[in-house]
Amino acid sequence: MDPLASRPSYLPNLRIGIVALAITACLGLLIARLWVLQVVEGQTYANRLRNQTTIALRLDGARGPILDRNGIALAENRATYEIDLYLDQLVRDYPKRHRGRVPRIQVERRMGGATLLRKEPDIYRVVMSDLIPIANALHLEVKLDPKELQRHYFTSPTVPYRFASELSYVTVARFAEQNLGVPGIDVAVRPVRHYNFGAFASHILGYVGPPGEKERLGPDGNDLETIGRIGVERLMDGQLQGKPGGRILRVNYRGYIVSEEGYTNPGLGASVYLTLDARIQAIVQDALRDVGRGAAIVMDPNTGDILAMASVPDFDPNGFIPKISQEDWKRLTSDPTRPLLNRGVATYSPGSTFKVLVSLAALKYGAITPSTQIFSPAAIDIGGHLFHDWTKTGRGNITLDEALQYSCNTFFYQVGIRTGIKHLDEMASLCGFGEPTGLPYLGEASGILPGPAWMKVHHPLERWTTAHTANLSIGQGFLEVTPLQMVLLMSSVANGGTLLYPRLVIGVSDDHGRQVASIPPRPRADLGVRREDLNAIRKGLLSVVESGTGHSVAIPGIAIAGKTGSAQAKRKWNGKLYNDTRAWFIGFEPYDRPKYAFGVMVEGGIGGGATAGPIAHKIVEGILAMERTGVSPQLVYFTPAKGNFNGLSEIQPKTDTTQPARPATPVREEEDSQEGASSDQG
Amino acid sequence: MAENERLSFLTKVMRFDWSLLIVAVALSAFGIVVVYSATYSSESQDFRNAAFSQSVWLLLGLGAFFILSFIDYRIWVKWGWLFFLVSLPALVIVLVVGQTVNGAKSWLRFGPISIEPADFTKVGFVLLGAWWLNQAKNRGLLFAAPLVLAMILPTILILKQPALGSAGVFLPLCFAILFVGGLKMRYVLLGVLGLLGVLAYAYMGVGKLGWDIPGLKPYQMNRIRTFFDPTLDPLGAGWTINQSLIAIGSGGMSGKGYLKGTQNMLGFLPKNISYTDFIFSVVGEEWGFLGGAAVIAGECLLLLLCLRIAFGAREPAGRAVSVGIATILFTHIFVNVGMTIKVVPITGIPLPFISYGGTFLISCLAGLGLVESVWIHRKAEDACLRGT
Repeated sequence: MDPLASRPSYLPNLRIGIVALAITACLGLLIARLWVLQVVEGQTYANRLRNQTTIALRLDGARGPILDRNGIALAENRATYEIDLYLDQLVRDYPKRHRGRVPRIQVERRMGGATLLRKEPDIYRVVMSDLIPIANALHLEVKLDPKELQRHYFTSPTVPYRFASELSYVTVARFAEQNLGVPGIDVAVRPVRHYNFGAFASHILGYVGPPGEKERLGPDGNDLETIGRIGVERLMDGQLQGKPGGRILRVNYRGYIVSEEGYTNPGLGASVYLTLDARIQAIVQDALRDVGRGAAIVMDPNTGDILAMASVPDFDPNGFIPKISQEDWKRLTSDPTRPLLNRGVATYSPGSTFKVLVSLAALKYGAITPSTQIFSPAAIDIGGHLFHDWTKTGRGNITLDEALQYSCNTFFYQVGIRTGIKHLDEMASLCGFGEPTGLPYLGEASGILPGPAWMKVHHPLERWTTAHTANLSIGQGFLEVTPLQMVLLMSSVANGGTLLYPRLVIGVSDDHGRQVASIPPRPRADLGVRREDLNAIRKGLLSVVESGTGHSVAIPGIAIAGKTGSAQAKRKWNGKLYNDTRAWFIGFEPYDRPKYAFGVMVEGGIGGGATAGPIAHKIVEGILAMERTGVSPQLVYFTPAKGNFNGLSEIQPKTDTTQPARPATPVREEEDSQEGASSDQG
Repeated sequence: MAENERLSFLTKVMRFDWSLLIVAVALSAFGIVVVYSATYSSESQDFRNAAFSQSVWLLLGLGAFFILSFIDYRIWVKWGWLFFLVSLPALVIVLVVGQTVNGAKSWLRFGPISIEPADFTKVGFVLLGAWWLNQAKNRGLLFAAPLVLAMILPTILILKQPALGSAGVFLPLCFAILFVGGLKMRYVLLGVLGLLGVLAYAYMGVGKLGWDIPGLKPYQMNRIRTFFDPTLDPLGAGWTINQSLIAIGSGGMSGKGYLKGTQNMLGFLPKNISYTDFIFSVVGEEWGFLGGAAVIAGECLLLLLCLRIAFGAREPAGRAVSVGIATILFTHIFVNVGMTIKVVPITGIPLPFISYGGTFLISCLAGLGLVESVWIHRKAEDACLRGT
């Protein structure tokens, strides 16, 4: 060893200094990098940490109840048990649970117009690998649509996917006992819609269903569980929808939930109070359910409140929960009696009931006065055609009240012509004929109010003649009205001349019972008919029930006013032509201070007095009994009323065509092609 | 040499550099505290005892430190070539009967104790370098070439394990010994240029153009690729680096507090490495920038203290030992901390004094003991010179 014989050719301490500098610089670099990471970009990483250690779950709020005017719940929720799949979590856990990579699948996704091929976790395989053992243990059938599953995972990975619903308690118990769950597969209790009385006001309540592809997003940008499909469920969907809550869960690296960070209770949706009176609804449905097809409405003539509205045949909306089966849907939609149709707002020829409107127009515009006598024979000649009364004898010189009492056609032909189509149409428009009354989502039809202008549009080759006017005057021809429109007309007569909009919803209360909205009754127009004129009509309508065509409605000791109508319609069925008479009765009671206006319309009836009258009688009797005794009819679970065509009577093909050619008999391309009939029998 | 023995034990104690010991013990103590947190939520028993075991290792390590401190380092340097040669068969043996931990066959098991032979080879190489400094006459190619060749052999053997991180220690170690040993400037510049070339190749070629590095296993290549782009495989190779970044980044300025690191407690930082190679992620998450920077600064202070001893050493071997040990420690610190904050790719290499690991802690403290010995025996050199 010859250490340091000469002075070294280099400066070792300088070199050590350089090393010290290099080391310090390198470690300084680390500190600088640490500064950027923790202080400059710290928030970014904090957010990423939040994203991976927490999951936000949306909890759907239960739908608010629908109640009648007295607070009886018509639609509520019941609890169901189901197995939910948390797809997000299953995918995240897959590598750990199965010791392998998440299987992937190529999926086509449309994004901003372009179709992209994306590699996504093969959610079907992921789910199956975890679900099969559980399903086998519970003896559940696994029926999953891979496409639907993939779509759900893509659009809403944090919303649980419902694997099985309506589980029995036994199954739920077994699931809990054997501790079959894995993180991501859970039993959940979920509120679903329940209609407490079954096929009860089903056309009004409507039903809910799972949202379609385009309607998924609620106003808060989250997926909706169910949406109202028709009826009040649809009309008030925004109020009824439950307020969504949420859970924020802290998970560990395996996705196991270790704690709950936050919880917002899902809220019950608002309560919707209807004008319906469940007791009256029950009375009406009981009275009506024996007919094959028909509608009945009870209204408060002072407010326009719909107290009851029934349509036969009907359906049980519980069949739509949670999702209607293909067969059931097909059965409902292919039934020729059309159970889904709300006949209360569908259109029919009004027949003689329309004479009320003709009377109002004639008096208002001075065509006649209450004391004007008009000679009314068995038939009169109008424009070269004979127009018959339904009696063979004629009535002689009669005034308006008698004409109403006996529903004299020849009287009203002449009154209608005297009033003129212009004034008839004006009055009818004022009363809302030819347009919807304003109850959306109930399937309301407008009806047809024909006139010269209408003729030009719809039958350009024909011209409006006095014959058409005469036909209109007895509620025949092209004219089509809804029972609801007729009841509104009757209400205006009952309440002294105010036309109202129908009211179905009284108000909305939040889940604490505080009223958040109320909808007041809304007058539509004043009839503009002088008091004494209106009284003359009312007197005529009173005598209809007392001793006229509507005697079948009469109840001793109570003054009921009303008007019958029998519009003959023809229906082709199995290649044969049948009479399918629409039997009407519209009225109000008590006569002096009316509390109820009502209308009954039966398809396939014999006549207004014979078919609709007894039903109206039953309804009024029921209401009176309820008011007198204070005993409400027991509300039970209603089974759907079945429809039929029993009232049809076959028309023998006529060999002699003695019947005079009449102006335009409308033929409607409907399921049941009907033809306006020539005669009207009061 | 004879003079050395004349130094009484008391003199040695008087010359003892306490600052080195204090910093090392402070870092180790903090390491035990962090190891406790990193293993806190683990269910497994071996994890639970980690902090306690580490305390025992620390005591044993201090014993090694003191023993080596008071023995003249020149004894080791004299036989430096032998230590190096003896450590090489161990590297071969470990390839045959070694225990595989985290994919690398790096450990030899003796009953309850596991030893990583590569750690000994590193120290052996330092002693070899110190010995060679005394032997080599010039400071040119003939000085550098044998040492570089001696470096290549263990590097290849360790790469076979494969432990990329450990193997990577030898290059800077060799370079530092040659540099401080007085390698001529032109060769130094050559080395620096070569280093820059490798860096450029790594960044441009591998990082941007996606070339393969010949001789690397696919999983190592993967690790390097995910270093450049952690999103390549977020659940596989990219998982750890992503979780480490999230842990440290979310720690912010002052951290989430002791035992309150979510990434650590919830297991997003894999439990089997969070107390060893990824201990710095736990430091960063729970102690924030202040804690992380303090650890780096503490380690830096320790290295500078080592270099101060190299400064004080009056002969090349003493400098070589001090600088060599400092370089080994530095490489570990830089690579370990660097990989947790995405400055270098992930390799399995622990953080000196902080990471859990008995033999490594003892090795580090023993290395410091050598450095301390250089300090204690520096005056003896003068005596030795005067004597001749």
